[in-house]
Amino acid sequence: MPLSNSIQGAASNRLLFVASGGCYGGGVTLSTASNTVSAFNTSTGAFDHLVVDYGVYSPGDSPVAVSEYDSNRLLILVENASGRRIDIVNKDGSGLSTYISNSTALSAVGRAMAFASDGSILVSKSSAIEKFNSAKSRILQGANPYVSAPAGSCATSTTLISDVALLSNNKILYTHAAATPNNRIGLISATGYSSAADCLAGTAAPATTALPTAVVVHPSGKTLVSFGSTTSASNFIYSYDVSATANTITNATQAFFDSSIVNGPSAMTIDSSTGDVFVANATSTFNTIELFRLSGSTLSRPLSRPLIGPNVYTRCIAGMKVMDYNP
Amino acid sequence: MSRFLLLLIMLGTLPAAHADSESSSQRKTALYGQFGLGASDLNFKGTQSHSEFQGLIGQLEAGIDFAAGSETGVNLACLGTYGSLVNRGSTFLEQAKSTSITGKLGLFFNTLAIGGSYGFLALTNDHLSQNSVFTSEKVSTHLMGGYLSLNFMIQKKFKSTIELSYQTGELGSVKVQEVQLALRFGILQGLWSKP
Repeated sequence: MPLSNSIQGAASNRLLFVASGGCYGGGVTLSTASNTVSAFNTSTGAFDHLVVDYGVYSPGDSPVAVSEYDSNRLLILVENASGRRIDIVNKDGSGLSTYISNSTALSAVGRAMAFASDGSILVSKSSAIEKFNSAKSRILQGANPYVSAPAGSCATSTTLISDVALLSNNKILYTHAAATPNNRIGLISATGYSSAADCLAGTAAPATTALPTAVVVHPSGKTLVSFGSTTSASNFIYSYDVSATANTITNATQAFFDSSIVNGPSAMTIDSSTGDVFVANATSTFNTIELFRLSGSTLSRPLSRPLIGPNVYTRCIAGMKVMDYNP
Repeated sequence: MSRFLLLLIMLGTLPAAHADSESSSQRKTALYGQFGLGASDLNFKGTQSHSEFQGLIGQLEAGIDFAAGSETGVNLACLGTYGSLVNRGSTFLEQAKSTSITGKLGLFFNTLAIGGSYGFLALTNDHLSQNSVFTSEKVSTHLMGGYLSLNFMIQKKFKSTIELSYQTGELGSVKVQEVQLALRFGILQGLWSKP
């Protein structure tokens, strides 16, 4: 690898991969996305390289989520009403091909993607969550998507599953952004949703005007959920204790609130090696990425400015992921 | 091509040099100056990172051999090197100009010499990648190691050397290792006494 990567040590081999695409920030005014996937240095926030520019490669396509496939490649969830799919791309941008193309499964607006430990992929298509196994075959619950119309405490209607996360035992945690009382966080069985009993837990957003936009499980065990809103006071991040065994979502605590720093948060990710939390702000006057550190249930901002300031690659960030990069 | 011709000339002098080392004159002290060519393998290894540079380097060495017996003694020398090394990846190319100066202290037993070294290495690295702009950076560190060499005197006027050296050091949290295999040739000015 290049000398600069070696002498800076392991930390510099981790890059923040950012997808600027069709994002959701809780209803805030958004900028026009650049439809790119790019990479930034997690320590300095410096731009590292452009992975793929869909505006040039395939106009009309919009990257809305990224996940790590292996040490050299990543998966991109591509939103395009006439051709939703998952692409597999070399992290240095040198190669791109279609990984999954299933118009029956990917029949609605794609928003989030999560990788399970068995190699399967969960994809939020707003009104449901689809699952593909490691052989790229669609996994149904009966005749329905893997998680479809979860009832009970999970939600009374399902229209906008903004994010999906997996717990260690593959139970599915998701955020649902719809008008109260359906602005909720839900926990679904690892086997998907087929009956009300598969809704293991659900909890409402802390405020009626707060819409959950992203969820991440921190290495400390805390689960962080970001909320966006056109109401300034409802833009914040909460921490929860989610028990994968007792099936509970408890201890809702405001982890960070300052609408001049977190506004229209559209994506969150964590560097598992350092515990750093990255939050993307999609409000059109922001387009920034903030760095936070979690201590207990509280997030602190170590910098006096955003880690990554507004630029063409940070407009309307739909997904982010910290990954190893070894060119 | 010229470098390979130089290597062939040095290799060609070794048999004659070895015959001359069996002379009955007893050596006391000898000053020498040599020039040569070496192959270098320079590694920077972190916990999850590895950069490897390879290439040819030129060497200049000046030293003193203090004889303590008929063919044993102590060697003290200063070695300077300069060369161009390359680290090549699938998406990038790095060319580094390497400069070093090393102090050496060892023992020689007839033609065999062994000893330790301590020196300073400086690298100017030019990086070219398809994913980023051209960059140039300078790094430097101290290295410590040892050497093993075969030395041959030619007519009490010239000295040929084949030397294998290993040096290691640290650059932050990264371990630096260098292995060199070199051939040197030069003039010798010694004080000889008759047995």
